[in-house]
Amino acid sequence: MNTAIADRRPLEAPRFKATPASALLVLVIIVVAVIAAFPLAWMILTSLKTPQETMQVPPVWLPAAPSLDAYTEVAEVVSLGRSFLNSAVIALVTTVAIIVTSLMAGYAFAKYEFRYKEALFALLIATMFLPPIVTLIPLYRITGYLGLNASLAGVIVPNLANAFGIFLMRQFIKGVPDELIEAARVDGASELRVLFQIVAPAVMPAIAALVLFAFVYHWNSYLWPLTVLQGSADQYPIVISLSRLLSYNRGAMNTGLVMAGATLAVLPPVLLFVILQRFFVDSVVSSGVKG
Amino acid sequence: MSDAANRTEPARLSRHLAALGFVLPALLIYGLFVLYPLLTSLWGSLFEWRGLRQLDFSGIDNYLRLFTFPNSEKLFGALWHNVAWFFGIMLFQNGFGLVLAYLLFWSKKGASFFQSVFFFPAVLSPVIVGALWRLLLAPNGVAEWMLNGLGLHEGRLTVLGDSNWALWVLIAIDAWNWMGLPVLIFTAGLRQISYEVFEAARIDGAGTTRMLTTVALPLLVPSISSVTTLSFINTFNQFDIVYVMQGVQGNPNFSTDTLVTYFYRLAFGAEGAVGITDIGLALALGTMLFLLLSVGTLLLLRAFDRATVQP
Repeated sequence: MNTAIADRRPLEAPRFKATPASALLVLVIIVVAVIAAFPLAWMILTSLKTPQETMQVPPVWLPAAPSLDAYTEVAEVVSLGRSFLNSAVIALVTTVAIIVTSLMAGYAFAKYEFRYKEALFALLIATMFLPPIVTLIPLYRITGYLGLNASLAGVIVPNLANAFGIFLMRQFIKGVPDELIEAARVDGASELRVLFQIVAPAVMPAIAALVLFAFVYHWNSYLWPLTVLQGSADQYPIVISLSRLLSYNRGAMNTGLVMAGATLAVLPPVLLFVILQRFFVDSVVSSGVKG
Repeated sequence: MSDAANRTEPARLSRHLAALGFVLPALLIYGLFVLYPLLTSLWGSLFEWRGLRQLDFSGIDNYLRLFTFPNSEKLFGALWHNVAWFFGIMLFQNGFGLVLAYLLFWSKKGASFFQSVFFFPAVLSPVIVGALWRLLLAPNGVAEWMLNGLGLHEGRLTVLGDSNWALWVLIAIDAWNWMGLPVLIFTAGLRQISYEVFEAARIDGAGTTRMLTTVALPLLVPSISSVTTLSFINTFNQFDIVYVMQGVQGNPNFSTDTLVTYFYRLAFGAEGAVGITDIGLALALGTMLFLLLSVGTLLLLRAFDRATVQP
């Protein structure tokens, strides 16, 4: 199938035009979009309400006088600034490292021949979807031996490389023409320069997607930080601080506070998603469809 | 690599070294923090444990214990919940996702906008998803008020505390959380089907609905394969939502217990007496989970490969 055909969309869909059935289908799409977005809208609205409004029955839709009190208050209850910073450090360092290690290993698997290449790659694939919890106990012991427990380094170091990143980069780098790489070599570029100045720009959409995957995953990760930080609360990322706030508040139900914290915690991944979503959609597509 | 690149021996050697240098950082980290722990887990499942101390070799003893009462009851309960979860997701998330993708495929405007909106919930942390839905589903909450208003339900809404409903509510929340994924994959799959195929079907008099079943579905097998495999893997890894919303016991009365929450209790001590762990049993369960996932994924992919129609 050539690309010209693959890209062409059906030009006309006469059966879908201006009939009651088509109106109904458009309605279905819009209702689903509302279902997707409603809980998030509710979260933000609730964070702007007064404590009285959050508890009212029937529910109050819009806060009468939107206030940011819940935000200033939640920052006092848990050290939100510190948690936010911890999350940022964890997510940023991990993401950058994953990009570098995945690009390098993906390039080697895609464009080099070396001994045990196939076996190594098969090993990566076989363990790519390993439930992380299965290795939690031995992993915790290893980070303990290395003296990394109870520190941000303990959260970060085991995640500096991952199989999915390598797999994704390998899939995309395979598509980069050999001639391009060969031409750069003939011009005297070192292997490292070939990778970062020729190959990496050619797979930019996939890198953007991996940035999004890695950042969102590690910004949101919960179980491993909770385990390795051993209760040192000043190192907690924001989702753990938030879950502690939740358990404190289950009785009092100071809902506005929790929702204010949640809104702040959601902001960085959402912003990144908005910026990178075009690339993301493209590469889920190309890695997903090939199966 | 082209022949020209391999012409000289020194160049080949340096290229080999470069490859080694490229693979090594990732491999060292992956080997130390993933493969080595995995191997010690598998190996450790054959030993007797007291607390975090590995004692004598005990063969398949842990596995035998896992499959006898009372552990077997928890094991099969959790397994059943995972299986129900998988079929629930296949129906509510993927079946529905296919219909949505098909609608978006035919609509000319806004397809990519709606794809993004549908995908939006997936960037949320499970902690936040859990907190949000606990709030919405609480007694006196918005969901109760809406259902009462629509006449679908009367009085207090207590689905999360009801062992007949809790599991299905969690499945529905998971379906909501990841509803955008099948839509993305199916829309992409549909775009790869050539326009002429649809056109030919239309000339033969097929309507839009019949084209879905007779034209699109058979050609969508690779997409169906990806979606099914991903759902299978995600379902059997299910932990965060249950942990955050229903606690590590899978409340109420273990009705939302999954294989991974059961593993967590065995490994970190909330099964039986508080603080008492059973690492041997946990590692045996972990090994079973690992086997189930890898063999299951392999079989699924192979079955779908056979069903693939060449266009």
